[in-house]
Amino acid sequence: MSGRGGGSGSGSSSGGRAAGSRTEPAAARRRPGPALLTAGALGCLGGLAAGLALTLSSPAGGPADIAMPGWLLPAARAVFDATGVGAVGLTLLPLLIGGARPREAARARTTAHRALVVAGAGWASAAALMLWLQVADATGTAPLAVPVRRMGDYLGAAVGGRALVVAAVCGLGVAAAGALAARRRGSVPDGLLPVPALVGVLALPVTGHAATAPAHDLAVLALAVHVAAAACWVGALGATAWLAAPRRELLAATLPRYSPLATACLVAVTATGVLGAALRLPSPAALVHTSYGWLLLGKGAGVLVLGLLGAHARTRLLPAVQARRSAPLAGWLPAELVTMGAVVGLAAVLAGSAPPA
Amino acid sequence: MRRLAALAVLLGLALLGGAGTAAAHNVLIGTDPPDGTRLATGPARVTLTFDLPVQAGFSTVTVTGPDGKQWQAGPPVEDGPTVSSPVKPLGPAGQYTIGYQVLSADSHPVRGAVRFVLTTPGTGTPGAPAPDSANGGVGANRPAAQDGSGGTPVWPWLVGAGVLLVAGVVVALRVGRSD
Repeated sequence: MSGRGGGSGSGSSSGGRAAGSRTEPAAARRRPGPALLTAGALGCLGGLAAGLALTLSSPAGGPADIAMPGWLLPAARAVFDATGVGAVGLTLLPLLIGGARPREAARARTTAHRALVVAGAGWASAAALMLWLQVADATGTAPLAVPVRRMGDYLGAAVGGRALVVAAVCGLGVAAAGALAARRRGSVPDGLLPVPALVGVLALPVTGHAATAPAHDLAVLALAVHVAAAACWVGALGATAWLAAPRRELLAATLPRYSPLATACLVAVTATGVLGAALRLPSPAALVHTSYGWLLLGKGAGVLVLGLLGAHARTRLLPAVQARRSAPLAGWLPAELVTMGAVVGLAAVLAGSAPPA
Repeated sequence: MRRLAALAVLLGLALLGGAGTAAAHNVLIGTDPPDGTRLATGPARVTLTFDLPVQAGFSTVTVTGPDGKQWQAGPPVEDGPTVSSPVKPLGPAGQYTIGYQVLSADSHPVRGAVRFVLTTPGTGTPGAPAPDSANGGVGANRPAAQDGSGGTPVWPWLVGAGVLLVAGVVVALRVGRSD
């Protein structure tokens, strides 16, 4: 298990290097988007593997064994989270590029809307996949043997199943809206599109764990703010990396707007994360004595790194970008995306584990 | 920035209006027989009590003896926060393990095990040996109507929906480009 975690860790660093070499100033017009997203995906894989290595080694016991490998559901959760966050980012991007030259902004907007069609459809598929695996998990059946009837039973009984249907509908909805907006400019207001995307991202978390905590309503509210802020923060940077990073002019318009958003999200994510942990952990000692605590510490370390990277961006990179000088984003963007990916991977494992009693 | 603020307000309203109450992860608060008891005669039923109601139709209870055989006598019955299962007259003395999986109110499966020790051998005959991990043993103690093995599998429908979705995305992107 630890071998797998180590393997993915080294994989993500090589992914970061590959992304870096492709964003050299000489190749500034080439699209580094796919390499950057690969870096983020590898970081996510590393976080997922590390989280699973922490939790899978301590099985709870139960009636015989489970018909499905334990990593399958967290992996599906990570794909679901990543596509949902990507969709949120793509819906936010049109709001961030407002300051660019109209022609450039219009072209980027259309590209974002077209990408949203793919991201929304992928997100809806991931929701369906998760629903299927959750039914298999709840009924103890192998996924291929899950009958239609049990799927219906599960939807009737489990609020988590219905939340996934909400997420799937939101995914299809933003995909359709993206297609419409790409076809007829201005047919969908920019400010409206993030709403269904964020509702879809929040549906599952707000029906999940938090109520085990003593202060139930506060915990749910904290979790909702936490997830929404994290989705905006990570998603907007992912979308920026995908679409705006290769064009210096667009980046100079986007980054100054992204920076305050990222700062606000960092504050919100940290505050609500600490609050949620305080509500859920029975004692501070549980932070180091349980795998749940270690997952929290891992996420905290990731946010600390992101805070330092963000401070570097604000003080050093942003002035250079605004002056249209070539800023050394080639190292910064992959580092930021790998770290964000790793935290999202850890979060996917955390979401599936019960807090310590 | 103002638009982002408006968005935050809109979202907050959507959340307040749309979200139901978040439910909880069930916690096992008691069992009959209690964990670690030593019994001279086997119980007729085992009962597990949780802090919150259990979703009906998704529970599994197994009683596995020191011989590795299963001793539960029928499917589990849910009643509010309790799940119970009848048990056959027990056989060899030694440690018996009550394994359980229930679907908690927040739709996460909760699984675990409690143990008791039979001090005097009984006269019962066991059921099938406890299934190993390969064939999905959790379904072993379910009524046939609830068992995963019956009915049309759902995966062909999911594959069909996926194909339709991919086709829809391709069409949407083509149509978008022609404009």
